[in-house]
Amino acid sequence: MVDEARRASILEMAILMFKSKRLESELRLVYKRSFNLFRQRAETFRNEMSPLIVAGRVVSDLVSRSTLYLDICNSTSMKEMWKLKPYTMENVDKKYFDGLMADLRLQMRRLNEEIVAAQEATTLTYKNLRPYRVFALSPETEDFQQAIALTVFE
Amino acid sequence: MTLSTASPSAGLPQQSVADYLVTSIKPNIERIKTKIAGMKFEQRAYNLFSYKDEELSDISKYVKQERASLVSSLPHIPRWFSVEEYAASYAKLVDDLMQSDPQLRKALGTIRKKNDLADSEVAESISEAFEILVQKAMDIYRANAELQVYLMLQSRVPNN
Repeated sequence: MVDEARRASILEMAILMFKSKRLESELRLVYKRSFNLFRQRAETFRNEMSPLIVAGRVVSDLVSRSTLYLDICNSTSMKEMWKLKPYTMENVDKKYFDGLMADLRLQMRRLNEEIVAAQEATTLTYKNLRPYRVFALSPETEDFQQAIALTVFE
Repeated sequence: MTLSTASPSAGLPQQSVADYLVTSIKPNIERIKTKIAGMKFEQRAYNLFSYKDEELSDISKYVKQERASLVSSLPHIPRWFSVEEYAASYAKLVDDLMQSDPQLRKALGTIRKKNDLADSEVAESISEAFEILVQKAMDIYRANAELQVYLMLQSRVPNN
C-alpha cells in the first residue's frame, strides 16, 4: 500500500511530465517561423516573451535546487553523489523540502499563466499557444501509480 | 523498469546549457514588473539574470558560478561537500555535452560572439538558437520528470 505522500509526489511529477510534453509540442510549432518574420520582430518578440522565459528559468532553478538538495541529503561523499540512486527522506529536512515543492507548484502555475497571457497577446504570432490542461487524474488507487509508470517509461 | 534516458545524478548538464542560453538571450526583466507582481519573484528573476557580459563569455565560467550560487542557496551543506569540486565536475559534464552536440555548440558560439537582435545575421542565428533552446529545454524537463518519478517509485518515502 502506497502512502498518500508518495502518491501525491508521484502525481505531482506526473503532471509535470504531461505539462512538459504539452509545452514541447506547442512551442515547437510557434518557434518554427520564417526568419524574415523573426528579424522584423525580434526585439518585440524578446520583450513579449520575457515573462514566459523568466518564469521557465525560475522553474528550472527550483528543479535544480530540489534535485541537488536530495542528492546531497542522500550521499555521504562527493563520489557517491554522482551515482544515480533512489532517494530516501531519512536525512531530508521535510519542512524545507515541502517548501521547495510548494514553491515549484506556485511557479508552475505562474508559468501556466504566462502561457495564457501569450495566447491572449495580439501582436505576435503565438496565438496557437495553449495553456496546460489540468488533468483530472486521481491518485486514489494503486492502479494509478502503475499507469503513471507506464506513461513515463513507454 | 529502466530509465529511458540515462541521466547522472547531481544535476543534468543539458539543463544548465538551456539556462545559459536563456540567460544569454537576456530577457527584458523590467517587463516582468509590469507582468508579474511580487517582490520576491522580481528579486529572484534579477538574481538569475544578473550575469554580466564577461561572465557569459564562457559557458564553463557561467556553469561554475551558477552551481556555486545554487549550493549557497541550500540550508545545510555537509562537511564532505566541496563546492569547487562539485562545480568543476559539473562544468566538465557540460563541456562533454558541448563536444558531443555540434548543433548546440554552434548555437552557443554564435551567442557568445554577439547577442544583438538588431543585427540581421545574428538575429537569424538567435532564431535558430531559440529553436534549439526550446527543444533542449523540453528534453530536460522530460528527463527530469522521468528521473524524479523513477526515483519516487524506488524510494522509501515515510508515512506522514
